[in-house]
Amino acid sequence: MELQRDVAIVLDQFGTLQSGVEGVTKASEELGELSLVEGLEAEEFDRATINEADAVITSMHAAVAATEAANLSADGLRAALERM
Amino acid sequence: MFTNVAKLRADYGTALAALKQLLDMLNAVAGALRALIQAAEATLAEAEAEMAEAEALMSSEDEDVAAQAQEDFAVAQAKAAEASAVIADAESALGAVEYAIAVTTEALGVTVTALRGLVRHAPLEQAVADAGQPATHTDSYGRRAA
Repeated sequence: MELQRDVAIVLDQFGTLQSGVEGVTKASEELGELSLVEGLEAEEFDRATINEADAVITSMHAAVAATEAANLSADGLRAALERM
Repeated sequence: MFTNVAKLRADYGTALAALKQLLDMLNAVAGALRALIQAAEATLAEAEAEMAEAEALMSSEDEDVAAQAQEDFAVAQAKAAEASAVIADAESALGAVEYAIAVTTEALGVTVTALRGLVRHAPLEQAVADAGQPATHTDSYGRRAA
């Protein structure tokens, strides 16, 4: 019973990740709205700034993908809670 | 260009806050998973002790005691199996969460680097603000064109 409660607590914590993912996704979309690479090139930003901006968006997408994968990795615990 | 530098700076700030928040959440999940693994390991140890105790009574000459011990052994065995499964699932999830923490931490670093990179444009931005002139009238060091 105690273990069941502990698993439920962990799954509640996993539930909070969705809002974190949404926040990062929204922020990366805002950066994207600047039409980053094309837009910055049109504004004649230096190459380093364009590359850095591109790297930020790519790294944010990677963080979102890794968090979503981590969320899926809790499926075993979700199944365990159902069994309990 | 002035507008885009300001917009980039604001967007990087938003990105940093969002990534930091996600990192905090991932760390909280990792902490909860570690606590769960510890609790499940304690449950497993308890179940194993119960199994050993029941096993010792299973050979009792008293049939009722032996029958009860067999029942208790089965219950403890199921408890141990459940705890083992939870440990395996939690460890697997913890690995994925720790990877997400590493990737998100790296994203924070990339964003900080990009934000610092905008300092290259600060002189231009300052010159534009001081002169009240469009950015196209200054060179890349913020000096007004002749």
